Amino acid sequence: MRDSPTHFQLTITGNEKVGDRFFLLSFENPGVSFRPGQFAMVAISGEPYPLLRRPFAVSRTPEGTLQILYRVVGTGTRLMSYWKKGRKVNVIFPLGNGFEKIQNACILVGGGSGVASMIALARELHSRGTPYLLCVGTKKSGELDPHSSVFQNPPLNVKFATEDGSFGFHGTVLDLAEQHIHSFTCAAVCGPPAMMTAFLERFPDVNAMFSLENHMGCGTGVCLGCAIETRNGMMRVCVDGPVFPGKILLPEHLK
Amino acid sequence: MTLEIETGGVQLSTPILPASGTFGWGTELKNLVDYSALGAVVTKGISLHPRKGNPQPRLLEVPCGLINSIGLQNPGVDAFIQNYEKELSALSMPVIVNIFGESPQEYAEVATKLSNCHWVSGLEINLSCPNVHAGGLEFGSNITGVRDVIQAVRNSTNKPLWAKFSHSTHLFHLVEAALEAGSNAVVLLNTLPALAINIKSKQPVLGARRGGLSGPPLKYVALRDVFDVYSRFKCHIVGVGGIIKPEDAVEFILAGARAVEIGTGAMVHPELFIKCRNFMSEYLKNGSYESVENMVGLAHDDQHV
Ligand SMILES: Cc1cc2nc3c(=O)[nH]c(=O)nc-3n(C[C@H](O)[C@H](O)[C@H](O)COP(=O)(O)OP(=O)(O)OC[C@H]3O[C@@H](n4cnc5c(N)ncnc54)[C@H](O)[C@@H]3O)c2cc1C
Ligand SMILES: Cc1cc2nc3c(=O)[nH]c(=O)nc-3n(C[C@H](O)[C@H](O)[C@H](O)COP(=O)(O)O)c2cc1C
Ligand code: FES
Repeated sequence: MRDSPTHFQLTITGNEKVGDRFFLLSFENPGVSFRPGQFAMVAISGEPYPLLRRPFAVSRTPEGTLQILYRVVGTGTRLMSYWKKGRKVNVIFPLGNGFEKIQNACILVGGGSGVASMIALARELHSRGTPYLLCVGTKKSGELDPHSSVFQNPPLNVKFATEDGSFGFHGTVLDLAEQHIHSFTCAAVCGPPAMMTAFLERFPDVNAMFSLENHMGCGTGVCLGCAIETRNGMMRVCVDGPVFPGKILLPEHLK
Repeated sequence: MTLEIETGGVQLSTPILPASGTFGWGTELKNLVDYSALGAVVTKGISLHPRKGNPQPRLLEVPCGLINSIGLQNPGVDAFIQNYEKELSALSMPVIVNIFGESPQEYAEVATKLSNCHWVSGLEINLSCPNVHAGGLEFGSNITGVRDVIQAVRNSTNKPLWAKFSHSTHLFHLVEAALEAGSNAVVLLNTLPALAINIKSKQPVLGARRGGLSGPPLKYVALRDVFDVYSRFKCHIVGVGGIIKPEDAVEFILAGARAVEIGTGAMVHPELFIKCRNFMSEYLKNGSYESVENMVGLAHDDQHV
């Protein structure tokens, strides 16, 4: 079940640092129904700067708390990192299609801020007892704390890869995924465009779903700022996605 | 006391409208927007043939503003009518369809097709579109371009026409040409030409390289143009540009606009429409004005008796 997009003033219950550049923002849950992969458009300030809302994937803890795992990359996420418990945040939620219910063993591949989009799905598969493996890739150790509640509440089946080999598997998250992918019948992928393109090229026969992270103006389907060309014509990442089957994506348009 | 106002041949129940290109095809935001705030819906630009639009990235946030290069993506007029007619004709408010073309003939063909649709209350003519037969110069940049397009459209339909302009140093002449050719109102302003460069790649940031600036920085330019055009022509004007709070909308009416369109501001905060409508009501009440009409152009000296 998915509710239709609504305005909420959500109260922050925590904003915990969970790595060098990642924070875990928790909200009181107003009782929304949503699917993993659906996202929220978060207003950073009530002022004209920064102007646009920021899109973030939303997950739910076993206790029902809403969470956004975010990586500090620019102005908006830097301002968010100063947010304190009790603050009210204006969000439009839930948006986008989200992942369909996955019935078969699935490998989840997240690189950089794309890890966040995989958390909600991993938590759902975990609670339903569907076999899964979450592969997390960062450049070096410390970027994302493996002992944090992101991975421990509930305790997810997760493996880490670092590009410099300082923690977990030495290599990219795709190198890590390659070692395990034969045990799964489907894949879910989110990361920088180059990583998603590389996945399409390296694993062309894998039944994979991609969660795209395009820049968004509205998040509600009205501006066409996020639109991309696919094998099924022009599509809006914010309402027709952000989750797309790999077979309709055109690698040259994954920007 | 009433918010109703006739603008460029269209009876609006409020002077608050969405701006073309930031409100989809008109019905996407039914769950998020209180439509009773709106005097009409305004669609994204429609052309004769489908257009894929520009490559990504199409958006760049800049301090307090937005540069976009959507590239007028649209399904073409036939698919537009087929796909959206049912929902749009079910709306209880006027539907203004924004149109554009690569030649005056194309504008006219789109207008002819829409002329047969009873649910279309008026056409907003986007003149900020390159004329392929004039080296890509925008129709709206010169008198001939404006006259040719508006005349061609005027000859194809009896529907009310609103001519939409970007800022120009010779705006007076362009507006005059549009009014003479039969435009019922002018819409001021479309986005300002803009560009941003990535110093790492040494290339423009947007996929299409060039874009248009919208949002708060545009407001003061648009307000000045509305003010000047009103003082010169006393014609019907729809004010657009940088409205992000209800007070901004009131400023446009005081400058001489009979209605306003909200783009970027409401695309980010859809609740802005109802806030503007409620504020406008309060403003009328507090000033003991009977209608919006009594507020139009009050910023001009000669309006005070
Ligand atoms: C559907 C979706 C879900 C997402 N989920 C998450 C998540 O759960 N956790 C997380 O950390 N990040 C997520 N992202 C990416 C996140 O939206 C950006 O990192 C964030 O907007 C950056 O904002 P900023 O102000 O810090 O960066 P700035 O670079 O200052 O932002 C400038 C502009 O660019 C946009 N922008 C910059 N980087 C991105 C990006 N990678 N994707 C989309 N827009 C971007 C911003 O929204 C803003 O409009 C998601 C993106 C999408 C589209
Ligand atoms: C994403 C986007 C798409 C737009 N598309 C169109 C369009 O198709 N036709 C048009 O006439 N104007 C278009 N515009 C211009 C707006 O209608 C409006 O004139 C401009 O954005 C200034 O208003 P604002 O500052 O309130 O956004 C678009 C603007 C934006 C931001
Ligand atoms: S972000 Fe506006 S249509 Fe997708």
